[in-house]
Amino acid sequence: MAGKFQTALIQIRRSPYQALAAIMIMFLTFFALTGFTLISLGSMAIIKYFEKAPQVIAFFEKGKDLTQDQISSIKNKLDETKQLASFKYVSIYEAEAIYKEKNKSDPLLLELVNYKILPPSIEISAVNIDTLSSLKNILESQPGVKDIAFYEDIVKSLSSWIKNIRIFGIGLISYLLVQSVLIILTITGMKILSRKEEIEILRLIGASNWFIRWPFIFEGALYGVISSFLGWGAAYLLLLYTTPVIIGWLGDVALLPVPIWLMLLILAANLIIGIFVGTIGSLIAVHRFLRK
Amino acid sequence: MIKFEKISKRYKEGTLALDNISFFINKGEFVFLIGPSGAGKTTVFRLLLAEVKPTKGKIFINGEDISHLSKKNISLLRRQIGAAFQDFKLLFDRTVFENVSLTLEILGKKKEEIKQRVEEVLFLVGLKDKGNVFPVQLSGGEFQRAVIARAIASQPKILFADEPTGNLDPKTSLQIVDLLKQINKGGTTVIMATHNIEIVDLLKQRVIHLDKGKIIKDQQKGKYK
Repeated sequence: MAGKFQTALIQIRRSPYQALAAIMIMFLTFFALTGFTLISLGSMAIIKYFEKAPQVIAFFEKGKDLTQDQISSIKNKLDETKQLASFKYVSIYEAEAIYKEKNKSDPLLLELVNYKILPPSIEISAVNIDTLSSLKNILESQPGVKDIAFYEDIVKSLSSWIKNIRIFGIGLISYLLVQSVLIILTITGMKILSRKEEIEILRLIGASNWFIRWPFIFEGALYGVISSFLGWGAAYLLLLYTTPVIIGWLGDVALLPVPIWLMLLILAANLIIGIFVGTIGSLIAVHRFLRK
Repeated sequence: MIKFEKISKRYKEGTLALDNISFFINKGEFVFLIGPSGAGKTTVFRLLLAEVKPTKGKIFINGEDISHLSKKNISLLRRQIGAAFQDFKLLFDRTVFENVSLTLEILGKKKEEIKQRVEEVLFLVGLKDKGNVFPVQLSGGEFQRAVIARAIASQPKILFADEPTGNLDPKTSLQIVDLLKQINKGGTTVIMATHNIEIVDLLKQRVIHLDKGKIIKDQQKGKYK
């Protein structure tokens, strides 16, 4: 096997432009694959963040806390729906503490605001986002509610966007993977045809079909390995470079930096897909062009 | 060892290359296959290498019918036979060493074993210092020696040499034939196709004379005419 692998390396060295073309085209495939994998994993984390965050917040009269009876009554009514995932009462003092924490770097804002002008609130989330609307209606009908913040639309529209991005990503990657297989097939086919005489000589001196095929298959697999590694590397570098910008964008969503184990896992998956694509492309080529 | 039994070969375009020929070659024999161009000498080699199938008749090597072998068995057959082709069939982008080692790689020999054997063979054919050069850098005689070196590297029991002295001067031709004789003395059956009258007459070996696809003469210690 080592000899056949060496032959594959010699074949690559002998036709560097073909090798470069194959690697450059496959590179795009794996760059897109890594990019969409990261986007997909990131979007899942964003959705989870929004799903875990309070989805409905009811604000009550400013500067006046609810009594324990009022809180229990509201909670009981929500519990009856059996759709309540979380319930939290935020008093005016807690609201002040949150405000102070968020604005600790701005003394002017801290001076202007205190618990007397902040409303108490009830934050809830639903087991299933589809039932959020009915919980919101119950909350809205409670006495003393002055305002309602409702995130159902945001989450739903985010889910829809992510779903569409995923469909687009899967479509694009499938297209690029098929293109990569075809490129490997064409380049391997060209190589086989250009080495027709050599293959004929090998056959005449007793080489089996697999003796002739292995170097081509190794070559295809090698293109897959190199391009998947380069595609992954380029996507990772881009991610590292843009991390500060993305962190600023995401605000409280703790998504970055991506853990190294996850990146290594994506690399391993890329390499496996790369070897698979390269091998399939060259296998089809040897099957088609070495048939005799 | 080699038996042709009523062999006829007609190519697709209609040429009758061999017409009902039969012969038997014993183990360790040195046989000249002579005749004018188009007599059928190369077709005999092509049949022996299972490159083409006979239209009629059977061919046996060591008792095994090779007339209708499977692809896998064709490869196995060719590994047992050394062939020095008329058009050389050396790989020009590989060194002499790499060309000779090919047959051993095909047999799955280990790297060290290959290195040792190739060095032995190159020494035997007088190309011990030419292992690292490319075929185009060789003279005519050296080129033919490289072809023979590749053919004998796997220590085959049978060696075919198709016009090995074709383009060589008389002195170099004699050296090549001496080499083939030396290989034959080691126990290898050698079949050599040639036009070279001097060599055939000088060596006084068995001569099978072909003309228009038929055997017109088969003599022990024969002469060209």
